[in-house]
Amino acid sequence: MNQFIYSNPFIECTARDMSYEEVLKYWCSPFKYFKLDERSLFNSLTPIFIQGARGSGKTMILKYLSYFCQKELAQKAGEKDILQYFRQAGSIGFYFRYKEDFGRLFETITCSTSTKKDLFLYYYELYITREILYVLNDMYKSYYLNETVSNSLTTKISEILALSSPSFEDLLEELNRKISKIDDWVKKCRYFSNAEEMLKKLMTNNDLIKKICNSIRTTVTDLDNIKFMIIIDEYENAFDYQLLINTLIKQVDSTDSITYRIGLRPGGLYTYNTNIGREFLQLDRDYIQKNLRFDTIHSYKKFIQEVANRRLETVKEFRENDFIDIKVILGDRENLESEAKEIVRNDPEKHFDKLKIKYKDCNDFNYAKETLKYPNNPLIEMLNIIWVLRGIPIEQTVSSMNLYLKGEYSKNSPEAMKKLAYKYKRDYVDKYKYQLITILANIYKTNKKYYSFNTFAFLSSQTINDFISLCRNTFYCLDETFYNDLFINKNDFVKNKVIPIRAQCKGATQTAIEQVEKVKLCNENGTEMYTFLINVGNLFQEMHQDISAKYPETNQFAFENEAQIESRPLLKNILNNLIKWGVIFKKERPQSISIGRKKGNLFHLNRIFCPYFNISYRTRGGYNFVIETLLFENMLNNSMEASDVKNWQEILPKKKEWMQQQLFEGDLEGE
Amino acid sequence: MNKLYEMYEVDDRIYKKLVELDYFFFAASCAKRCYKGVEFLTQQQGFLKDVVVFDYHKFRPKEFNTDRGEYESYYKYRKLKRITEVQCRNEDDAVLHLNTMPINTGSRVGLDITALSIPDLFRIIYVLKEIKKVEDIHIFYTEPKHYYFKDGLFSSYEFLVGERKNKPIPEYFTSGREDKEILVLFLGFDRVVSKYVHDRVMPTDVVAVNGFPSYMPKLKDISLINNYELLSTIGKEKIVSTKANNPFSTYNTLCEIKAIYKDYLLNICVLGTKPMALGACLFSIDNKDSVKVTYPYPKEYNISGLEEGASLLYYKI
Repeated sequence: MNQFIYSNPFIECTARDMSYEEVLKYWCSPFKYFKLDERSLFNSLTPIFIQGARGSGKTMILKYLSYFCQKELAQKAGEKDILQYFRQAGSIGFYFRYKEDFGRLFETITCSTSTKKDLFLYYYELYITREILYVLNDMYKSYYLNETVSNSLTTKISEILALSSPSFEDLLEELNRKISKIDDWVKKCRYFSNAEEMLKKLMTNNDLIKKICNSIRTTVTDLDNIKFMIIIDEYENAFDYQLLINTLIKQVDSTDSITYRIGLRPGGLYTYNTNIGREFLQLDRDYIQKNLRFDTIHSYKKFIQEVANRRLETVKEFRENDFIDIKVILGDRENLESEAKEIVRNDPEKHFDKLKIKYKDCNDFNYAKETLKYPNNPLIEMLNIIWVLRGIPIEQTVSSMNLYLKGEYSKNSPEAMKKLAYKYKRDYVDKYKYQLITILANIYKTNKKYYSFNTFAFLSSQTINDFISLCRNTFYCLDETFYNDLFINKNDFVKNKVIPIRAQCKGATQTAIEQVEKVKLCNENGTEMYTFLINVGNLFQEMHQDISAKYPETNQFAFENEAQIESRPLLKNILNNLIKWGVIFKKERPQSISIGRKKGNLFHLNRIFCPYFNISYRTRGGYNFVIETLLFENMLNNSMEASDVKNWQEILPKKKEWMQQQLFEGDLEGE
Repeated sequence: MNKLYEMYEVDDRIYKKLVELDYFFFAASCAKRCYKGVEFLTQQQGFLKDVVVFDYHKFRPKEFNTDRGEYESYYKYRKLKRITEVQCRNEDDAVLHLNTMPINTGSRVGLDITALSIPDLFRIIYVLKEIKKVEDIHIFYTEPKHYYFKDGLFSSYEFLVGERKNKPIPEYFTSGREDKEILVLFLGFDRVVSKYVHDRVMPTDVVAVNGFPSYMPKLKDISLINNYELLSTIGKEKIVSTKANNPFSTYNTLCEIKAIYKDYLLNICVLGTKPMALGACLFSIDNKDSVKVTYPYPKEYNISGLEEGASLLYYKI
């Protein structure tokens, strides 16, 4: 087997598993794309929350802000006085990530709520202290701190920690032992009768971070004016205990010079409450929020191209064979016309059978078929069929087509046919082209193909990790023959270095299947979210296959009464989880919820699911499906036929009648 | 590494090698194989003194399945003589009961792990080894003859149904010395679960362990196929094999992984067989400071499999 097959540059290597060196190796500055001010990320005393969906690049940014990354950068830039470098930047960052299992641990501990809170906070103090000590140890080993300063600092920190360690390394060792003791208590607490008392004896110190930061400032002259930036990633994993950290964030002031950078998912801030009376966290007062959203698809595409190309360059064979531009490798855009030709290749007239709905007589049908034919482009043929089925005479349809093809159309032309040709052009180019291919694919019992850089960019919905997954699964579909043809035989068909559509499509479908399946497993309403996803996906799929193309490319929805959903805790919670876990996306600005309707929030499925349902990844205005609260509830709990969802208004009275009947019969049985 | 061990397939001849037991624990289950061990051992006169059954309510058959023989199969334990029932409504009930029992270092304790869930297996052994300090535990395990596949072999094995909550098993929580964490994932058949765990744990690195040889040769391939999502993400270099029915092999595999990933906290998650879980459990107890154990706790278990048993295995740990 060809060795190249195994060099998949998109194998998992996300920011979370990257070392600080790797972060820099793969670093593509996202600041300009997200409109983030790099300077204020370093020197703002007001805490900054960086909010972004899974895989949007939060961890990469947070790790980049940390001491270890900045130190590497400073060294690479030939900076001699590293402490001065940090002084100029304004802060030193200590990176810490809340792991999900740590947050969940507190559900399993059997003790009072207040003890749990104390324990959570104590762990926080110990973990951050350890990160600070790692940094100090590194500074010492790198000779940024001289012997006298480090001795003085270790003495002070030893006192704070109630330890007697002569060096940072010993301090770390002792601190790890402290942590181990607490871990031991966690393991055994349910088996002791006096567990809480035992824990109190173990938690001897408090305010460690504040005291240590203060001692650093007073001992290390170069750092006397610096901010200590505590970087907490995956803040959502602190669950209910966010309240405790919120309190620290609320208390930020210039006296301590401790500030925070918090990474979290949308909806990941579970509470704004703090431990200080009735005070709560206030946006733009206690913290600034930055959302990781690209302004335009164009800037997102530029960024992912840079990220993907950097990965491609890491593979020697790709580098040597100039196989390093993802835009070239995937092809810039899809070609719907050639895709359509491919669909009808073995039976070029099958789609005309749809005309039999209108023309029962064989001669009429044959006339219509022959007249509407345009073998060069089956999509045009499909549009002709739709026009005729909608009642536009065959001759007018064909004339419009011909005028459009000749470019003789105008919106304001005095000639009626040219006006109609303009409508034809609008229908084909602007309105229905995508829908036509899904209709065609459905007639030929095949699937719409998902391929090209542009398509993958849309499918990944601004989630860089999802773009990487699409590429990874595509690269897995490449076989020995492809690589041989590309690198050794240098065959003609791969000379332009585009991965076959078949492989790209398989990769996209595999990614979609994987993502759909994962929704089901999610512990926060996974079952309901999965059921809703399938119901909405099936609905849109059916609408995409509608031969009358009444609502082309419908893939957005809204709620008839969002306020009602908000007032019902269970529904509200599921809706929040749907957004939090990236199953659906909410549009940033309110719009008309459908044609001629009130303003409200619009939602769409994560586009990564599109290949699963064979629906469009593009967003089109106009008609959107509006979901009533009762329907929403049903869609969460029942696998529904797409037609039942679509015709909910019609089946609702019958359903209510049936429910009442069941209730009545139940009563009788009860009697 | 390469610890000496005792492992037999139990039959009429072999059982004579075994010591009589002061306590014998097992769990009730719908699966027929789960009673094979206790039935065999109770037939041997005076071999078991105190027999305790954990009746985990989470494994009880569903009300609407009364006609499928699952009730009869589950409550078979009631036909056994001189048996203590422990009703386990909550997660902690079994281990808390165990903690109150007068078991000591010298007690001869037997445990049938066949019907225990993986977290329960870890927890019970923790109490016996770490709280009660029992020196030797005599483990019994009945291998399955078949697995329950809903719609064919290649995508539909579902033992744990639907939503999962990834949590540490509390007795095995460890902070670790550094942020570096390697997820050691023992593969099972449940589709996409391994990928889900990987996504939730978000480790620094990952090793997937596949059981081989398995009870049926094809199962090793099925587990690879059903874990495609994870394996394609991490790359084939991160897959290792271990013997599926030998806990000592698992133990050694973990020793090898630990030797490679010296500074890492090992996050062990077993989705594979019970013997694998047993090996992982022993390793975790021996390496407390560098191992934590997590598990994707399901919302519910699929208890519809009336699995029959093949051979009854014995391990002394």
